[in-house]
Amino acid sequence: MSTFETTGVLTTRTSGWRRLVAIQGRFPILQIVITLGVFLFGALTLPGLASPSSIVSILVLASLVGIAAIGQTVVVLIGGIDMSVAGFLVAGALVVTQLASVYDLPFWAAALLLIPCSILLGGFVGWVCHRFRIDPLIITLAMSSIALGLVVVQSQGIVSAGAPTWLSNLTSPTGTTFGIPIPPVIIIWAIVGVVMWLVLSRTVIGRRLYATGANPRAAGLSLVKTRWVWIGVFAFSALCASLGGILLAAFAGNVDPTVGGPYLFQSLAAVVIGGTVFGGPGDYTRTIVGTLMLMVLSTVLVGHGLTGSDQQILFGVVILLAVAVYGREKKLRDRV
Amino acid sequence: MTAAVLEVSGLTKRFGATVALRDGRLALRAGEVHALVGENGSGKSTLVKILSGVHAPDSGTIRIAERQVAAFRSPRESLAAGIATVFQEVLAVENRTVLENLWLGQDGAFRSKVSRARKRERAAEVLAELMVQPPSLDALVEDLDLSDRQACAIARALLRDPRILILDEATSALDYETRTRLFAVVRRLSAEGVATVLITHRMDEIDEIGDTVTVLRSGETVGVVEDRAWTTASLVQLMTGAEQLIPAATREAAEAADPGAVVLEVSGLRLAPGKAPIDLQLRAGELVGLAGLEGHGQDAFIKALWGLVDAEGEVVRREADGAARPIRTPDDAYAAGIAYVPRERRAESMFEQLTILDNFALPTIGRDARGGFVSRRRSERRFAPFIEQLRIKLGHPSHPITTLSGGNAQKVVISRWLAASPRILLLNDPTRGIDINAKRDLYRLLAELARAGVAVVMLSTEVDEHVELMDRVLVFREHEQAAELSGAQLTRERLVAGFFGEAA
Amino acid sequence: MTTAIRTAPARRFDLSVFVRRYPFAFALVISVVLLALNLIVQPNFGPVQQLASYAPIAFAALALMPAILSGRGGIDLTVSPVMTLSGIVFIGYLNPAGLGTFVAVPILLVIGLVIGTVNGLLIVLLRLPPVVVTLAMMFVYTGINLKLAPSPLTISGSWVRSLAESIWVIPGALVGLAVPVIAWLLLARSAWGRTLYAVGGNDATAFSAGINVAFVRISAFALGSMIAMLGGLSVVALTSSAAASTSSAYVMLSIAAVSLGGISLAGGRGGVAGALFGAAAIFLVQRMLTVFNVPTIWLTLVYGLILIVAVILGAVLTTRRRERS
Repeated sequence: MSTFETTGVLTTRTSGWRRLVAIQGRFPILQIVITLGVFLFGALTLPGLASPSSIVSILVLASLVGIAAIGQTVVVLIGGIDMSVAGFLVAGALVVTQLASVYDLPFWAAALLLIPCSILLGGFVGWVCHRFRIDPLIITLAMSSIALGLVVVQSQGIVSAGAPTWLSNLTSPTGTTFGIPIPPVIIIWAIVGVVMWLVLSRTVIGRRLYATGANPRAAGLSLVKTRWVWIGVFAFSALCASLGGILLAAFAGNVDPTVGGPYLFQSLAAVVIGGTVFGGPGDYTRTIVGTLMLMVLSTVLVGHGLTGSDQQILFGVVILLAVAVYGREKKLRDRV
Repeated sequence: MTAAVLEVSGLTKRFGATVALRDGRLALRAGEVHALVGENGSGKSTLVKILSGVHAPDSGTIRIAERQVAAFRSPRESLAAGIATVFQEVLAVENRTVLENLWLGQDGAFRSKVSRARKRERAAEVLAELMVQPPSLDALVEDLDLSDRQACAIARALLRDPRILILDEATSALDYETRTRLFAVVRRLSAEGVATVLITHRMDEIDEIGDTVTVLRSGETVGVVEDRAWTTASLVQLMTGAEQLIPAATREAAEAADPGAVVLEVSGLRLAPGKAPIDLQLRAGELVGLAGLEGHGQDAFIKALWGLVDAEGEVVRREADGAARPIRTPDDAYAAGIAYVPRERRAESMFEQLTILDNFALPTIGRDARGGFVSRRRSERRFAPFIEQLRIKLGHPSHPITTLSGGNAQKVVISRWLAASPRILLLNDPTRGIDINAKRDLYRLLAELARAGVAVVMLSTEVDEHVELMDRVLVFREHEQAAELSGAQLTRERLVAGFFGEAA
Repeated sequence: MTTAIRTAPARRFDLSVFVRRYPFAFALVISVVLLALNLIVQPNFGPVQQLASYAPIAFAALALMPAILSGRGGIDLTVSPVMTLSGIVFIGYLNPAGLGTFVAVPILLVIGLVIGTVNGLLIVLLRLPPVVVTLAMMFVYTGINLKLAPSPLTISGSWVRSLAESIWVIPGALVGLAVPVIAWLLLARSAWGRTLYAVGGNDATAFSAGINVAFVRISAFALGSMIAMLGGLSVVALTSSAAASTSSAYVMLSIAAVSLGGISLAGGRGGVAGALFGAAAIFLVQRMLTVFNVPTIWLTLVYGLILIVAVILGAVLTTRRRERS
């Protein structure tokens, strides 16, 4: 264990508070504490909250939001916001339910069709943002409409019966995975979580991504192909959202264009609350924690009478609080 | 004895873990031209920023015109106290006119205090005194060149009719004529009782107009020399605590190397349209310096060697087997064994959120990966020899890079590029803002590299680095190569003369 | 640091200089062309009604303008829900209380002042990114709108209606728009306006010159929200209703309008002409779609395409040659 040399660096006595703050910077302790605390409060005040079926329901909801937040996490890590999550989610859901019936496509064909289309559209977003130096917020906002619009136009606005039963099984609270009494969507989410953790923290791609978010100019000078990072990240985000749309179709049954909206701000809230900052640092495990906290919070509050409009207000305030803790910008003085 | 118009004592300032000022002292008299000198990282910029209200000191006192202030909480307060500052970084609002830039900040919240006609009159007066060819008042600042922009920033300060004028290395961006006129203005102001604080690292400027010199080193005032009673040697002694910047041993090591085969050929490189083309043949084991006043082309030149700048002409890498590879992009350069250490450490080199190890490994991270997965241990093993060779002082490679001092962070950045085993190393002002010991380690490293056959091209703003370390120095003026100095001709006087276009 | 470049004297017509001086030129040309096309296809244009339909998007663009001009990524996503909020407050609370024009409007303006100041304080004092702050507040105000008006509110026979018809011989919409336009013209010429453009252009320089950057930025957001509140009235005038579902109606289109109008999203460039002509261009495109009977299901797609094209064009137009390496 080497000691800190003091030449040029002044050592500070690490008090308990400072150490706590330092750990909080690396691991979302506060969020976990709040999640458990709120859950405990809910378990005591709302009968049945702590029952296995209730917990499974919460986890199913969390999985959907968590999957919607995959793309959002990586986009935030490189310094942007992805407003197209909702559009791609609904587009994906519509493609596998309505489009499949309109064009008489088997489910698998429709799902496979999603892949190149979403990658192309997402990649285009990344390219435009990097090439013209435009804030991704606006371009993804536009792309949300474009993606959804393309599908809606194709399906002639027809509302079909909904998802096939075997698909609904993926997200049903009573669903099972190869015999285990856990709905497949939760398992999918867990697997995705592990993969994301591996890729972000252990691979070359992950390093380049973090570098691009941390300091795009230095990344370019260190020979990272930042334009490809942007293209790749947004293509990935679009892909995840559209594939996530399949699960959404499973869950929601009847899909109409407004179904995606809540997932947009929930995904953003989950990422921000988890403690991922614009441009980094952060990772997907934080998003998982953020998602759980958000779901538990809203379930308990809804149980206590919180309406949809209250939820929106709450999410807005929570996002503000989280950013105030994690994501403040440099002082003007330091830029003179 | 003229009255003290400003007295500063005991100033301390810390930024996070770094102590920028330990005990800053300054005594200014009316009508005095007071030079503030010190190495990069000595605290002089911090002292100035405290005086101009950008930062508040942690402790200390400021006495201005018999009144004591704890601190200026913003530039507004400092300006109100009669202090006008011109910063080193050229500060201008690019998309507004010259007139607006000159009068920036002098209006009230909703109304102007001075009539438009009067503004134009005064602005034209000040510009005419400062510049041979003043730009139109309605020209947009973004259309002006760097020297004119800085002149506008200076004019802005002059229009405040200050009692104290602070010039923080403000002359480095100016062209020769403007600089001369500026000094004439300073002398005029001095006769009118205005005190000027001049922060500069150029001896010739201090000799030209300075009355008193205050020397800072490692964050504290170590000496005050009055009545023009200094010599260059005595000032260098105070600034560095040693007679000479670069230890003799290092200099000898650098001189011992014999240049080898040509490794890089530059032909017909034009840094700006209509300028004379530059040719260069870089040899293995050579230490070549690029020198000149700010913005005279040396920055563009070194970037062209790395393929970052699209200039007319050719840069060709000559490999050991005789193959010739044209360098047009950084990828070409890197593949040809060239590495580039950028100038702005924080903006262009450092990933502040990442660990020391990540900062080191990034461009070469492919070597630590198998099947796409990175092995931290392999990175650490690659990093270890550099920690030793460059004497990097750190806690552990997994700590954030922000825990390192400027000098050590720069060493990490350099080792990042050395990890690629380059045959040609380009460094853009690498010793800016780092402490003297780190600098010395760097000089030693460069000498070692040269001895090992690496060709080194270094852009530097410190004349002594050129004189004592380099085999030859290219002097840049107005985007052309004004001179090439080596051997007995490589002296301080000749170099500085070359900056100003005069033969020494 | 930028390398010193001696500029060559301007010889012939320099497009970049023209665009910098008249950033709204492109939007103006497009508006004229579209107007001509519209008139050819549907000659009964009815200026009063058209202006009344144009007013909301013009207000939205005008409301967005100060925030964007203030720089540092300034943007105000709360404009759209605040416009809806204004309508809800007016129809739901102010009108039933029988408050006339000269009491209701100031109240709405005060609400706008508070909303904008809150946005500004969060952004400036807490140093939070404007995008995130206004996005979060957009959720908050959308939620508030839902709470206050779970189902659409309607109004009849109010003075507001005249904003969509004629006041004497002048189209009501023009009277309504004249308020923020004149206010802006006065402010922009004043010291406040100059400092706003300075802050938007380079806030570090403005700060070093003694400008109170915090005040300027916060007041810019306050002004924007006040304009948004006025804009809500134009919506009420047009539709005689206020519905929470319109909370995000103007988000995309207002950004598209501002971008087309040459107002740089980076700050410090552009003006009221840009906002008005950009909004006009967007409005006329919308009208073309209606005239050509483009089915509603195509609209989502088309609006998205318009926004992308507008923003890319805007970026291309306002990007000056950069040598900042």
